[in-house]
Amino acid sequence: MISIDPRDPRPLYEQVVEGFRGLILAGVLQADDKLPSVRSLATQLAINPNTIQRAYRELEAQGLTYSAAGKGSFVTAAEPARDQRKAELLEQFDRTAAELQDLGVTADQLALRLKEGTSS
Amino acid sequence: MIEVKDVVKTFGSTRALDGVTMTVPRGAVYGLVGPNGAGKTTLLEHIAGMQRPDGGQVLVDGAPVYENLDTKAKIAFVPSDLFYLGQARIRDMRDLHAIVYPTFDQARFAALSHLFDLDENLPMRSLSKGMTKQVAFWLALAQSPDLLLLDEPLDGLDPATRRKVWGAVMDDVAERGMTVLTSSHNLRELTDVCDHVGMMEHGRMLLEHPLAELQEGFVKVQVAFADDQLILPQDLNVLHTDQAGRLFTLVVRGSAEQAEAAFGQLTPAPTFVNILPLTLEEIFIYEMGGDRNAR
Amino acid sequence: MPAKLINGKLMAHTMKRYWPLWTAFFAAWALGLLMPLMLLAPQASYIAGANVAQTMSIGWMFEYGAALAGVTVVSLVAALLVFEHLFNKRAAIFYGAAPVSRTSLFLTPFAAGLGAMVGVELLVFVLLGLLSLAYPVITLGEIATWLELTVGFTLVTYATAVLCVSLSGTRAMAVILYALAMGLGPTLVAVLVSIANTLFWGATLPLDTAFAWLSPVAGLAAYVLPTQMPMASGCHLALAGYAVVALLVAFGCLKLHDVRNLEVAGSQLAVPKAAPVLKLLLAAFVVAIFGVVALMSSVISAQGQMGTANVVVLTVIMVIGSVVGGFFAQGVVTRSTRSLRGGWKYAAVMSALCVAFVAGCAFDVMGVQGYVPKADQIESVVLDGDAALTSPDAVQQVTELHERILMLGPVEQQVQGIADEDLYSAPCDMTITYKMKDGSTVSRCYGYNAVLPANDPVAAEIESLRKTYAKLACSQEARESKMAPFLNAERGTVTVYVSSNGIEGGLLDSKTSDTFVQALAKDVREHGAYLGGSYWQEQCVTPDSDSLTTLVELNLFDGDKSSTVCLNPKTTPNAISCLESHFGTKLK
Repeated sequence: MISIDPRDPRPLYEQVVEGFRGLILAGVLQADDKLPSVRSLATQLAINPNTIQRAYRELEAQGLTYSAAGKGSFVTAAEPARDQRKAELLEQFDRTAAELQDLGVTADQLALRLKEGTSS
Repeated sequence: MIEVKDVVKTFGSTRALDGVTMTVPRGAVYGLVGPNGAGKTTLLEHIAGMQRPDGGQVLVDGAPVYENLDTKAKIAFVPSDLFYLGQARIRDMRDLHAIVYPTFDQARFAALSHLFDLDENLPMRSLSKGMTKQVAFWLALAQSPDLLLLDEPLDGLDPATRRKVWGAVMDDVAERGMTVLTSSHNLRELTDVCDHVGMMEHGRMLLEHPLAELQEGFVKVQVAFADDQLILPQDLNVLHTDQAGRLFTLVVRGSAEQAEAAFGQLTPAPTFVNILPLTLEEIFIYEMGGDRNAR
Repeated sequence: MPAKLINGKLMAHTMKRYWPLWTAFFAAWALGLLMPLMLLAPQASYIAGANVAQTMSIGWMFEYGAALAGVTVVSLVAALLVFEHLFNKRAAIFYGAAPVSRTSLFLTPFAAGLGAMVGVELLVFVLLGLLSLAYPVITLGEIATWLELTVGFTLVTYATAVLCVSLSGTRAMAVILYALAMGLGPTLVAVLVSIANTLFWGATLPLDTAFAWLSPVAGLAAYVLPTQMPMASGCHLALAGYAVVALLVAFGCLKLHDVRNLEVAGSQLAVPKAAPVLKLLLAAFVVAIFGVVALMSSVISAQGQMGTANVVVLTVIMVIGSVVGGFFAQGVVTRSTRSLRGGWKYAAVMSALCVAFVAGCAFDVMGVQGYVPKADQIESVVLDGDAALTSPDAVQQVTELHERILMLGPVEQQVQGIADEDLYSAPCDMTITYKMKDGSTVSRCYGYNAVLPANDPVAAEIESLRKTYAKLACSQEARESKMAPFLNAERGTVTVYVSSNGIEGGLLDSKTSDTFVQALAKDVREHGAYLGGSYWQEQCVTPDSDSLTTLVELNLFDGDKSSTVCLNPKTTPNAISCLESHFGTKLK
């Protein structure tokens, strides 16, 4: 389902989190779909089950999944995930915009760019 | 699960183990790293109950493991060179294991055969080194041990096989809470499977940490300054410094947040700061003090 | 789980694994013992009884020693095979980590090897039993004896093999140790005892005792293997004794194994600290070989006293042997030619020892060679076997003779082409054994077999010495002392065997033997008959040293004592007439 890039310097659990996030946001994993069990994923990827556990806890903390006792982890409704992504990207947007303004780009130039960008 | 306390072992005039202390919690996957001659194999042999320490204690499940048959029955030891009887076929070794190890399960052995793709009627002699190592794993896993000891077990195997074998091991860890202690040179691989790391040198344990702590305890900082002069924040534990053009690369002990905060407060502020995680290899090299090879 | 002493399944596994060896062992017995018996069986005469059965069955089997050799070899091979974890490092790790106690790790293969061998022997025993039921070619008693001997022998050789295996880390070293223990060691011991004899007791006497007690094989062969059936009780005891020692050795090996560092599998010695001792032993053995070969090839002659040329040659040979031995030992134990240089230490030590020994013997440092006991401290003197002299006069004469012999010293061979006797059967035609008042014994033997020119004054002196000795050995006192055991023996316990002079069927019946002995006693008292003659001389020697014709040679057997009697009309008239009336012919 997801894959690990050995050359990615990020911690493994982060890669797992990111991998599932991508799938959830893209709609490949939809609401109430079950994530693979910790055991099967650890076996398939040949990584420590604790890493998987940690990733799943992180996903749950981010609101992307919920766990049912004894049954595993499931995808929450898509909406919250998308909202969260929107919030993240907007924050990034703000930071980028701030930096551009520091470098001398005006707000109007930015607005123009947006308009032109979306229309073309 | 395993407690090694101040263990000393001397062979002739060599002090192979010079006061080793180590703790392996139950259910952990513990990677033992160190240069050749550090004493990793000797330590593993002690934990397997093959050797008796000259000083100190080797405890498994709270009791000394030497001559402790109940405990040894629950341990599977995969050495770097597998023993096999001269003319034996794989199934003959299976039978010998079944005689010697009470928990060895013939059914389990049969069930695992799909994983290893080897015919049990093959003579051991005809197997390549890689195949022999696979058989070693096969036999160990069929034993369903509580503790799996591995001595450089996967050297010489191709990546696909390694993944397959580790996958099977992780399966047991997840399913039964098996504890694994493995020695290896391949730090890249250990990063995937281990949750604890211990570094040995000259018969002593240098450091021992949960892997997460280790990875979060070191960062690489790339930094550049306007006047090309390196200014270091105070109280920052810098292990190593390197320079290429205007870019300084530092290896710092501390978390990413700490490093970020430290450089954020620096005046004059650096023109460029980038904080990266370190690979286990890099940590190993810097800790060993030999930063000759890498950056 | 409780610690089992022997892991049954593992033992069975081990035994099964080496089935070719047990099969070969059984085949050897089948071919060497079963088949010949089966082939002879139909022809066996029911009447001839014991003699025939004996000849065909066990007697010759053990005489030829093939069976012994076979068991000796198989014991070693079995031990080398079953104790794999002592030689193979990977096996050591496997078994060391396995949930098997150290004790079980030793006892299981031990039992497997011994059990398999004894199992084969029991099978042969059963088959022999079946054969004996069908044919009288062998009796159950003989089979039982065979089993007792074979199993006892197996136990002893196997225990020795296990000891060698326990001290080694490589099979090659175990084989070397075994060879040393089995046959080669005793050669060394015999030489050492010979040295001790020469230095401390002043005589080089034949040495077969040393062999027996140090080598299990030789010991069993000499003391246990019966020359007659049924086995004397002493043989049973000796065998039992060996078996007990074997079990003790095995127990010792168990303890050794408990503390063994399994890592030594693959290195030559299990106890590296013992390397210098082993190297010295090996070097000493090589020197011994050199010495023995030199003696047997007559490069040097060995008589009681050594001439100067011999001393020099012997020293040179032994030093060469020391050098060769030192480096050989170093090479074998360290298993490399690169560290060969370390061998010079052992070469030097052995050379020093050899030179010291030779010098000690040659210069008689301990003063033993030239020692003649004081007459007043001597209780009795025995010449020529049994002739004991106790009168102070006789004793005095013996010591004077002894002094004269020493004054003459060694006599060098001057005529070429005469072979010398070797060390182990020195030409002792003059033996003197002093029994001292304090209980100790001093033994000497002297002989001269150099051929000298006729007019040589030395030759005359030798002749005079011999005659003086003969006179003392044939004195009345001596004759009566020699005769005493036979005359004082109970009736019917002395057997008389008449040989030569064309008389058939020489063994006299009990009644005639008694009569004869009485007649002979009369002759000794009244006519000065001489009982016994010099073994090396074909003619009888009498007090006045006239050579008389040998008429009849008689051997009186009384248990383990025997003697020769030369009859002639002058000194043994009664004995002669007794025989003549018995055989009905005149003796010539």
